[in-house]
Amino acid sequence: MLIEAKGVTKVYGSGRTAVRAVNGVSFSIDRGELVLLMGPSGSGKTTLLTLISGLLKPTSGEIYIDGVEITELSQKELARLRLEKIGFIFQHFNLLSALTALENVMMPLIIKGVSKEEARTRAEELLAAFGLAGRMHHLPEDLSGGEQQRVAVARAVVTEPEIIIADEPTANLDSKKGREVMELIRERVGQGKSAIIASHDPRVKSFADRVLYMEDGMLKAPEEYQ
Amino acid sequence: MVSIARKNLFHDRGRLLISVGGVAFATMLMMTLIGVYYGIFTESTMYLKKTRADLWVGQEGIHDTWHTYSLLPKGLDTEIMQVGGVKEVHEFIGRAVMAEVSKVSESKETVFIIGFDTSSGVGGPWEIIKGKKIPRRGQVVVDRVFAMRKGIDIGDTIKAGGVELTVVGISKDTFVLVYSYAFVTKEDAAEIFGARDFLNYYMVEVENPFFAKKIATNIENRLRARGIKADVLTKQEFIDNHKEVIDESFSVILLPLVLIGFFIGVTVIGLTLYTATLEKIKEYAILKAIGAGEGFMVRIVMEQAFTIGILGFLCGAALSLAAARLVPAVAPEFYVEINSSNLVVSFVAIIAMSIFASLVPIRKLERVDPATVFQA
Ligand SMILES: Nc1ncnc2c1ncn2[C@@H]1O[C@H](COP(=O)(O)OP(=O)(O)O)[C@@H](O)[C@H]1O
Ligand SMILES: [Mg+2]
Repeated sequence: MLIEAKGVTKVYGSGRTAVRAVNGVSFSIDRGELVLLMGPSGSGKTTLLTLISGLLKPTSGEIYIDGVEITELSQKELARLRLEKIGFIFQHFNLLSALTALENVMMPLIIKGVSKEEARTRAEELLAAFGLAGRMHHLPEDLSGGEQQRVAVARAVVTEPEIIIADEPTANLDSKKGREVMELIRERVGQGKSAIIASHDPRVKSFADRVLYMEDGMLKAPEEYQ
Repeated sequence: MVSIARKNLFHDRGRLLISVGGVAFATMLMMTLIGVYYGIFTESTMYLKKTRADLWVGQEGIHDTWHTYSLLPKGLDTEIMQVGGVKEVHEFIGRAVMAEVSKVSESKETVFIIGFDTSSGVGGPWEIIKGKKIPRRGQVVVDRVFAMRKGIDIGDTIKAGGVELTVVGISKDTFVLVYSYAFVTKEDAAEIFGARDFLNYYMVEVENPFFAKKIATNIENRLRARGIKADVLTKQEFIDNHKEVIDESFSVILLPLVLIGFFIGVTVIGLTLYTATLEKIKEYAILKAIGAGEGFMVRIVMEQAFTIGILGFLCGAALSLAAARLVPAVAPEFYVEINSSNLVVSFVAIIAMSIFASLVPIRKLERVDPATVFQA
């Protein structure tokens, strides 16, 4: 099991304004699985992804990544874990605006301490494979939304992470571009690599091995979910 | 590395230019002030350095030529010559007086008249740009800055202490901050000062400068035995005493201005880094989410700080050097010495500025919560 959550709860705020965004959630994801996390807006999908990324500490519960309980780790160890094991894809692409597509993709490798030459080679190869050979030296602002998200996928997978965490990766794309992005993610999953994708886009469903339904901070059995 | 630091910085050219300009200004301010300090030091010790005197014999308690006054009876030279290791002894008689330039009416200026032994030339001017080096009675060698300011040349006359003197030579590097030296025969000097029986210092040349300190003590003892209280300083001690005085005034007048320059630099770099950091705060959150550690974030800020600092320093240093070359052509009394120490001190100050300026933006980055990346 690559990811395991046991009774994870996250409460934002306290007292009368407290919001129970994630409420006693337990699930696990195996290696090679592409899991879709579906649910209406405000159901707690993003919070759950943030928790399993180690970017947020749960109020209670345990989260295991590759057998390591991460809620006990220090900020430094969590950063290391994210760098080594997780690739992120966001709804708003979140590329670094002053860097070219190529430099954006090189960045995680650079942070990892890979040499500039090697980082460049690997990023170039990946971008070429993603059909972006001609767009590598453009700044994000000169790329279309679809191109930006493909660059973002390249950035997420360039370090060969075991886990891809994506939050609404297709929400800002038309269906064709959305499908392209999902195909790229799908190709990367398998052989020990997994992905968890939060989305309320029903078109994403066909790419998933399994769907987790979320509502009011809790996971529901598929039959309970409408 | 893909320098996100520089890319982010160069992304806004206008801001970069303003901050580099600000740092250049701070650099110029500091270099000029430090240059004034070195300039004053060089000018005011030039005479001591150029004059063939290993020891200065003065009245008891002498420290420097500005704060202490030395008066000794004439005729001690034979006594000093008796001390072992002494090679030559020369009289120094000098004092600041008002001089009138006859050509320009109502034009008075302080000059430091030095009477020297014209047969040996010791204590006289060391570099002449025009005319002759050794004046005869009724003649004077004046400084270049003085001559330029007063518009006088060889053949013109000046009047000091009621004595009319014809300019026969113009010397170089003989201007000290507020006055210049004017060289006359020691006989004329005695007449100008109205002091025939006294002089100010004996300048002693020794056989072997290595024993200068020992000889100094021997001269003091010998004169004391004759009932004359004198202090003997080595050339280096005398120079150091002058430096001490300059350092003191530097610390009250120039240092506060240097510190202002420093704070201007810190503020300019700091504000630039801070706005550049705030502007990209969301992107720094992304880097942290990806897994960038504290060190990586600190390096980004530091690299930006050093980029601004060093670019500003290079511009400022280049402008300062150019100014130090060009300004003396129009205002020769304005001597700014940009030597290697000045460059090193200024550079170190810029590095320190960059480090100080980084502190607040680094704190800001440390507080960035990477969890915000998931929020729209
Ligand atoms: N940082 C936060 N502080 C307080 N409440 C939050 C915060 N983030 C999310 N919430 C709340 O938690 C609930 C779940 O939000 P979220 O995880 O973003 O759901 P989803 O991604 O499914 O739309 C919502 O009610 C939201 O308002
Ligand atoms: Mg969400």
